[in-house]
Formats: sequence, C-alpha cells, structure tokens
Amino acid sequence: MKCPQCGAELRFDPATQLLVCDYCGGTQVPSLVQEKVSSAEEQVHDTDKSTAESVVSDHMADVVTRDTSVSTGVEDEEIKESQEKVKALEPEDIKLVEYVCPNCGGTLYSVKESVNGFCSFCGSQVMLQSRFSSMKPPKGIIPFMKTKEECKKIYSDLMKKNFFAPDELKDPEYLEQFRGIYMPYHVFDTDVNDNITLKGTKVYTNGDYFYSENYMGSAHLSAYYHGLSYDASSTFSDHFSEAIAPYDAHMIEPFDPDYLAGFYADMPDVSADCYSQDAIAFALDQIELELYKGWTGDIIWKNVREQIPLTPQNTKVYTAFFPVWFLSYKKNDRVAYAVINGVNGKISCDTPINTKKFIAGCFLLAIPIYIILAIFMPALTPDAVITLIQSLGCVCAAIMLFNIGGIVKREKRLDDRGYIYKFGGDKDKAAYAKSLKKDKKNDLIEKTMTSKMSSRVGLIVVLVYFGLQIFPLFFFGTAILLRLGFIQPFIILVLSIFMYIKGSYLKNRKILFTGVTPLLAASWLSLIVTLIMPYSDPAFYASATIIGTGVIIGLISVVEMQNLLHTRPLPQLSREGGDVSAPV
Amino acid sequence: MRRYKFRLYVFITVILFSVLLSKVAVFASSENVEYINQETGYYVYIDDSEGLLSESEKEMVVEEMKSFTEYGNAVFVSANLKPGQAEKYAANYYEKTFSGEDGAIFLVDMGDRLLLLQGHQNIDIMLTSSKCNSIMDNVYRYARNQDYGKCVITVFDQAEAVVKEQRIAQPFKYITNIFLSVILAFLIGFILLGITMGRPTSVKKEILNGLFSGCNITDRAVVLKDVTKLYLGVSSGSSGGSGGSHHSSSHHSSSHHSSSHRSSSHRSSSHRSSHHSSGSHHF
Repeated sequence: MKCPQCGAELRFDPATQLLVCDYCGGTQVPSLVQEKVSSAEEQVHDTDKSTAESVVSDHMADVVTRDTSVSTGVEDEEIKESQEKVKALEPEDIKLVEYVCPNCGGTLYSVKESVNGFCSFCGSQVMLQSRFSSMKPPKGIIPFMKTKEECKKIYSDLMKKNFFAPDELKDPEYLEQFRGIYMPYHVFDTDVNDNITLKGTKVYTNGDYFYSENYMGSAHLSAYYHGLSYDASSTFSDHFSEAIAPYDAHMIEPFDPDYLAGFYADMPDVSADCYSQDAIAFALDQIELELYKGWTGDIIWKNVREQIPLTPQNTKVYTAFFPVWFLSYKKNDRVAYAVINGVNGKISCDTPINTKKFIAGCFLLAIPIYIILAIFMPALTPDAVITLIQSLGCVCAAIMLFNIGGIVKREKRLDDRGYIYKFGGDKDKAAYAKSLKKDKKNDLIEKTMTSKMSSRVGLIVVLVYFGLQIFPLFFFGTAILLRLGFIQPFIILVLSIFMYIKGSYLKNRKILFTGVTPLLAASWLSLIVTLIMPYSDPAFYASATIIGTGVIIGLISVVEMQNLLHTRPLPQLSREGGDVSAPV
Repeated sequence: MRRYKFRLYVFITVILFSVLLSKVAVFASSENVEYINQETGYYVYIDDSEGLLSESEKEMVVEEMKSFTEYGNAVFVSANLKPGQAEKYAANYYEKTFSGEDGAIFLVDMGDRLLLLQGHQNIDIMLTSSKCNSIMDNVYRYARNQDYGKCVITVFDQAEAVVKEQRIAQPFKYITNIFLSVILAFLIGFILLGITMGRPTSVKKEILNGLFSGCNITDRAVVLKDVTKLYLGVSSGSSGGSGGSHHSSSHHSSSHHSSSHRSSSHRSSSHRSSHHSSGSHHF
C-alpha cells in the first residue's frame, strides 16, 4: 500500500483508524471504510461535497469511539448487517511478503517489503528471510485499536510493579520491539432451534405420607451463540490467547487488507475441529443454566444437559484476524513473551526473575524478620528447632514439586491445546484430555500454571501435614513422630521421588540435582546426625546447619525453577533451523 | 442456734490449725530445707537424691540460691526417671511441696539425662517457657561435664536475672533464628512473586458479553406422569426442632496471672490454681 502523494509505504494507525504516511504525513481512508463512505455519499448525492465530508468524519468518529461493552444479545441493524457481510465474504487470495526466521523457522506475513531484524517468536536479532507469497485471507478482521505507545505504557506499568523483573524488560529501547500481529482465530456460531423434553421429580411430605411425583416437561428452545473465538495458530499459545480473551464479536468487520498496513499476520494452521467441542460445551453451559429457570413448582429436572439437542452440526465456523501486540525476550536458550490484546489492552506475559535481585531482596527481607523473631519468638529446644526447619524443608519440597509440575507442563506445551492437537502424540493428547475433563469449572480458562497432578499431590501432602500439626489429638501417634522430626525426611523423600519422576520429562534436569538432591540429602543427614549424637552440642549445630543450608539451597533452586516456569524453550517452528531438541 | 455457730467456729479453727500444722510438720521434718528467707518466707530447697552435689558444692549452691528467695522458692531436685516423666514429675513435686506458691524448680533427671527448669505461679510471668529453654541451653554443657554445682548456680543466677527483668544471653536462639528468618524471607518472597505475577483470566460473563447471544424457551408444558405415596408412620409435622443440647465452656489461658505484684514481706497462703512454665534440655 503506497501513499498516493509520495509513494512511501502507508501504515494503519489504530488511534485515527486511518492509513497514515509517516513520510509526508498524508492520510488515507481504508478501502472498506471508503466503501461505506461511498454508500453514504450515494445516499446524500443531492447534498454538496462538504456535507459528504462531514459524513466521512462522522463515520470515523464512530469507528474510533466505538463502545465495546455491547450487551449480550443486543444486535443493532448495522452490526447485524456487518456480520452478515463477514460471513458471506469470499475473499480472494492476497499477495503478501513472507518473513521467515532462519533460527526458529517462525513465519510472519506482512504487506511491508522490509522489516526490522528480529524474530518475534524466538527473540533473535536476525535478518528475516523474505519472499513474496500469496495467501487466502480470513473472512473477518478486528482492526488494532490500541497504539504501540499505549501498549508500551501498559507493559511498563506492569513491569514497574514487578520488583524482581530483569532490568532489560524495563528498557524503553527494548519495548520498541513490540510488534503488532494479526493472529488467526476460529470464530464459532452455534445455533439451536428445536423442541426439548425433560424429566423431573418433586418430593414432599404431607401428614404421615411421603410423595414422589414424576413429571415430563416440554418446551421449544431457540438459542444462538455467535462469535465465540479460539486461536487458530499453533505458534500462538492458548495459554496467552485465553488470558487476553475475549475479543468482542460485535467488532468483527469484513476483511480488508488495508488494515494489515504496518502490521504482521500469522496464518491459521490448527483445524477448527480442535475447538468445536469447546464451542458446543460453552453453549451447553449457557443453555443448561437457562433451562433450570422459569418452571413453576419445585420440580427438580434431571439430566438437562444430555437432553439439549446440540451437536457439531449446529455450529458454523469462519476465520478472522484479531489484533495482538507481541513482544519476545530471549535469554540464553529460553524465551519469554508478552502479549497484549490489541482492542482492550488486556496483558499476559511471561516474566522472568532476576535471580540475584530476588535473592538479595530475600536476604534484605530476612533482616526485619530476624528482628521480629528475636523479639517475639520464644526460645525453642534444639530438637524443636531441627523439627521446625525440617518441616520448612517439607514446605520447600512441596513448592519445588508445584514448580517442576508447572515446568513440565509448560515445556510439553500441555497448556496449549492447539499445539497438542497439531503436534502432540497420543499420550500428550490423552494427558491434555484428562486434565480438561477434570477441570469442571471452565474449559476456556486455564486456572493454574502448574500441573494438576503434581499440585494435587503436593497440596494433599501439605494439607495432611498441617492437619496433623494443628490437630495432634486426632493424629496423636503421627504428631509425636512429626514433633520428633523423624517423619519429615520421609515426607521430603516421597516428594523428591515425585519430583524425579516428573522431572524425567525435562530436557535439562540440572535443576533436580542442584535443588532437590541437596534438600533430600540434608534432611537425611540431619536426621542421622541427630540420631547418632542425640544430645551433643556440636552435633546439634551441625544438624541445624545441614538442614538449614539444605532448605536454603532448595529455596534458591526454586528461584531458578520460577525462571524456567516463566520462560519457554526456544521454539522450533519449522523443519529447518531452530532448537533441534525443543519439544515439537 | 448459738450452739451450732460455736461448733462451726470450732470446726473451722480445727481445720485451719490442722492444715497449718501439717504444712509446718512437712517442712519441719524435712531435711531438704536449706534456708528460709525471713522476710519473704520463701525456701531454698534441695533434694539431691542422686548425690550430684558435694557438701562444699551444696553450700555454694545454697548461698547462690538464697537471693532467689526474694521472689519465690528456689528448688533443686535430682532424680532418676524414665524418659518423658520429667515435666510431670517436676510439676507434681513442686505442687506437693509448695502448693500455690511462687517459685522455680530445677530438676536434673539422670535417667533421661535431662535438665528441666519450671517457673511456678507468678514467677512464670517472667520466667516463661522460652526463657527456661534459653537458660537450659546456656547451662547444659556444665551438666555434661558433670559440673552440677556450677550448673545449678548458673540456673538460679540466670533465673533471678530474668525475674529481675534483666537480659540473659540466648546465643542458641539468635543463631537458629538466622536460618529461620532466611527461610521465611524466601517463602514470603515467593508469595510476593505469586501476587505480582498473577495471570489475567476471563470470566464467562465477560466472554458472553462479547458474543451475539440469545436463549428463548417458549411453549413450556409440564405433565404429571405418576405419583408414589409412602406411609411414614409418624407425623412429620412434629419432627425436628426440640431436643439437642448445648454447653458452654470457659477457656483457660496457659498462664492466667494475677496482675498485682506480690509484697516481698508476705508469703502467699491462699490457694491459687496451679500453673507453670518450663524449659528443658538433654545433656
């Protein structure tokens, strides 16, 4: 797209919703908008040109100040018409420049013929290989509403609150690498218009009698849920797309290549089948809720969800581009992403930790804690001190288990449904399906960063442990063992076994040997020293030092684990280049 | 009527005398009383059945323990007990001998190789379990070196310092607190990290607002298919409500102390509920 005045490249400006020439300052109305304006001009053909111009400016004002909080089910005529146009659109192939990263194989498309030399997927500072390519565009698009400046501010504000983030992430120069990318999304329309039959019962007592009444209910159900979207790119993690959701379906416009000017696009490579069940489940949830309401009497309706006549045939799907601001941060062989919704500014990001800063902060924090303990904490007997530190070792082991579970999940990309669907093996798919099934509350939102299995085991261990401590009367025997400090090394051993099993999936298992092993060794060594020389002063100090040091080493390794948890392995997005050992 | 009153007075007087005499008789016959503070009436009491102290040591110990009697009884007991009995033994020993009186008992249990210090009644306001533990930490090496005389002297010396609100060294506490504070700091750091790294989520309502959606349920009809009627045999109208029980309970603080400071010239003769603090250390 060239500027008609000077021939320089135009870019779409989210602030004005116009095509802007950075060279001569000229502006241009996107062609789709121009179409609308033309029809407006036709409608007012009897009026003079100045009136038509005012219509143009009025329309632009509407676009810029569009209200995004449209009530559910409200569909004014203009939006309805626009949606019909989107669905009816059969766009022709467009010519774009394809940019490929020689390091990771990540591919982006743009109308620009030159780009800055960095890859948004692996964070490498490289010259991207380019070639002309044609692609079939999606039917719809939501243009960028947030400018790069706004997006940088959102990110900076978040980083200001994050004391332990690396300083590079707060560098304004680094923030220039924010790239506006149109991500492909599958947009689902679900409709149901059918009769429904339900079975229900009502039970009550009257006098000396118990009554059970069986009812048959029938109704006509007419429901529609249009515009539910799921990302269609395997390179864009569902972890992020779910976090920055939702995109307002009312804002989807027919695709116009003018909106791509100055931005990039990713191509859909995950089939819509991957998410069709999710779209149906969403509709079922809503309809089920509605079906329980509005009946007279106290009838309890049974198996309502199963009676709703909704199948994959009830859904239609089309593809649309949604705007995402994307930033990557590479450190050694890991990469962290920051992603911002280009419409509402919702942000989700991986935030690595500056290890030195965090450790220094913790030691500083230890000073006031030390003073508080010196004033308020009673002196304990030596065995009580050892027991307490061993118990804190159990807490440390549980935290490590949470983190290792989370890292495994992140590295196997079990939080990315699209990726698993496209590249995952049967085992991964089964693991994902299992975790999805267990997550009864919400299929769309990932509730936790950590692996459910490991977190559950860890949680149970911690809860049981503290339950035993709090209610010693109920668990008298075990509580005595806990107080003697004999049972904690066993708890640490059990948690460590889980960690080694979980950690066997990790590409780099160094963290197990630098964190888990010292804690495990320290807990047992401390126990042995205490048992061999129970009342020896030097033995006590040795024992306390061993377990204390073990726990502190364990906690420092948790910082490293947090860094792994908040970064990702370098991606390998094609057969050529990339990190060959990265999970595919 | 007057006759009955007279009898009552006599009865009370006899009871009081017998109580006082029995108490005096215990002490009078006891060889363990080493010293009585004439001003406060508190004792230095040593029951060294394990023979840990030599005569000369005992003299020195008594001399040192005397100053503690300004605040309460100073009791030293050595015994040979089974593991786990020391705490109860010391508490019972003190209560049997000086029921309801202020004081401290230091027990050396040769059976379990355990040192134990307990503060009783008002003494435990200052001589808390925490302080007892610290004192035991400070003296157990004397016991291990079989220097029991120095051990007892130091115990009562430090106990007196504590009662006088003076500071005593607690190196053990301060060293172990280093580990604890660092570990706690890390745990708090992780909590802070979790708060600052919270991930945004979308609620279903938010997603629903971004959709074109609607749900209409019309032509509702409900048909009763069948009814099952069951005779219960008792009137359900009278069930529930009555019965049950309730109870009230009072909570006892582990150290419910009198706030009044005890006069140094009077021994407490009133019977107070027994409470104590204690600290121990193996040697």
